[in-house]
Amino acid sequence: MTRSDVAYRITKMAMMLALALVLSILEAWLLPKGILPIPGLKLGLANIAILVTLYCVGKKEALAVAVMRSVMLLFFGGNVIGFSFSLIGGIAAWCAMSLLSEARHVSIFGVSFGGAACHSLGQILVAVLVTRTLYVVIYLPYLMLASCAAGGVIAFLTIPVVKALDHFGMEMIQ
Amino acid sequence: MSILYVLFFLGNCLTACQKKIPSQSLQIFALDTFITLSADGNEAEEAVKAASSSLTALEKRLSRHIEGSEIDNLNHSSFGSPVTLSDDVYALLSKTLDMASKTDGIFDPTVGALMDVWGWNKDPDRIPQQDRIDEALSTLDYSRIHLLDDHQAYVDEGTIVDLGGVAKGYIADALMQQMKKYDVVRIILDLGGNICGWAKDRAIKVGVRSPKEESAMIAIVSVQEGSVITSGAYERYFEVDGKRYGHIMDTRTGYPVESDMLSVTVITEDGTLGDILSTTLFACGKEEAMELSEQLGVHCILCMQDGTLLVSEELKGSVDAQQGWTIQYFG
Amino acid sequence: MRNKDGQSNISAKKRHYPERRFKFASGDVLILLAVVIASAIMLVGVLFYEQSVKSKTRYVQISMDGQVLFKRDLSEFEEPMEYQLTVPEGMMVIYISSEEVYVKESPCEDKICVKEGALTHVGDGAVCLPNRVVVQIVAGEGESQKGPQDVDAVAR
Repeated sequence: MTRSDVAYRITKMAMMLALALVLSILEAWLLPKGILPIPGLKLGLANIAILVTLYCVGKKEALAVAVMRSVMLLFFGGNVIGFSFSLIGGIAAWCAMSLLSEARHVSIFGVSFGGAACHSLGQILVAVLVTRTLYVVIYLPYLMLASCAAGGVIAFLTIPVVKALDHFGMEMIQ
Repeated sequence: MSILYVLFFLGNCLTACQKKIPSQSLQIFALDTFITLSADGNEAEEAVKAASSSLTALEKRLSRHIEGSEIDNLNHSSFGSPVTLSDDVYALLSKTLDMASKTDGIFDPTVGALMDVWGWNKDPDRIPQQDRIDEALSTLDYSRIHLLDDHQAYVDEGTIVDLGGVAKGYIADALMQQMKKYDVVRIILDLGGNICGWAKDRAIKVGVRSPKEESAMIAIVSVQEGSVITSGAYERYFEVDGKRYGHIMDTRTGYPVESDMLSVTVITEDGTLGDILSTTLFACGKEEAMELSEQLGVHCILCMQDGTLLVSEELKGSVDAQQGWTIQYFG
Repeated sequence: MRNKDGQSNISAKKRHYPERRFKFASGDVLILLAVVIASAIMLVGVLFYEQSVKSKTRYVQISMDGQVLFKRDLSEFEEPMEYQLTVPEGMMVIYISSEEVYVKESPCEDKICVKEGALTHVGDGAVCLPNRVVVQIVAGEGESQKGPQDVDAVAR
């Protein structure tokens, strides 16, 4: 890989990170905290950026974007608990998504479902650690089901983005 | 841990106040444990408030972990530069030393260094190295605390005074004295499981926790006035290779006490004494405990492995054994 | 639309991004099924648990940082009470009666604990993550062990 290739990849990652952050903020506007019926449930718009990165840049880059997004949100006035939720959830989701993206007969929808389910698992794990009570596990089934639905929506929204990027000639394939 | 306060007001019953006696209860995190101060009576609120501020003040003077406390200053003193202690701390310290000599050093306020080596102020998880234990043991001797005239005192180099085994009892007594001055009919203080109670009209029933099961009790003790203090190896401990190490240290070996009893409960009007003796009796074992309690005239419940409760004769009628436990009186 | 058949002119070695499939596929159904089944099993488990503790005495338990601050038999609260709990962000008010328990006020931002509403059954609970407080209804020992309710305090 030449130096310009590296620069190109970094540029793409930075763009995706910016996209992820904008989407996070957009989501906070559209769906203020506590409007959804299940604690911890989110639409996860930022996941569009993570999915695009995973499909168009690479797996490691997707992880980097997920982690950096959490860190940056913390700097932009998030709290530590929120940070640990998004970080652990994000890493868990990335693990599932990067594995599933290689699996046969699994489309972007399956990848997004798996990511959403694992994100829920990670979140509940953090909640158990934070409250030091097993009680919060009771939310897991509801959270998992609802987040899968959200995952479907996200996958649906991601497809046109990937296609558009291809269309505009971003040389996604090196 | 710094003084993190978790105040927990048992809000005065809002609607039913007309006929009932007001009651007030306050929960505070201090002395490294949860403390509940409660009182019933017309001035319950004032009594509880006053007690909570004295509690903070007393902790600031007695905790060795608070910089600038009298005990912290004492730990930094030396032969050349003794510290001047306040009346009550000096009195407490001399009482402590008196008890140390009466118990032949089984109770010893100079365990600070040993407690640190084992890491009991944090969450310990391993047995320290022998040479560190030996080093701590060399500083452990109550004769290394020197009380001078004019409320002055100093300790020999390396010795760390830790009033952890007395402070809760002493503070409970002090708070009780203070709260009684208000117009109240009932006071119950719970200092991390040390119960100190007083009631005008009826006996207070204090349950004694089972060493085997957290929610169960071994007995219920009725007291009009006094402290019920339990020691055992079930509240704070860690395990290595399946062996349990409790937080009550044997001042002779430098290792946690291996007692033939599950727990010891002391019932006494003198909380300071009760706090000292519950740990001491637990540390010295069944036979010696029975002897020592008679000798000092302190009443106790010794909880044995086989489900027997050895109870001082004098407590006959005021101790109710719970299911699975049988009482045997001694003395 | 560029689909995965574009693969032919790219050498396998250079591919560092996952294959792209945009059409709903059989694997997706399996994943969804797995999630649904797992959730169903958990829900059934919770249901069974609730059934098994239905007859037991209900206790209200308030814990912070995993430490139980308060645990009392609900039947003791014939006269409702409001508990005020000072938490890192301010003051939390918890309403307790023999019928129900709910978080009345909380200083937290999301107010999820308040929205949780009335807690009436064993297993119900309200969680305030920002303040690390859990209010829940737990099962007590029932009739067999009369005791904890009868004493004024417990020495530990």
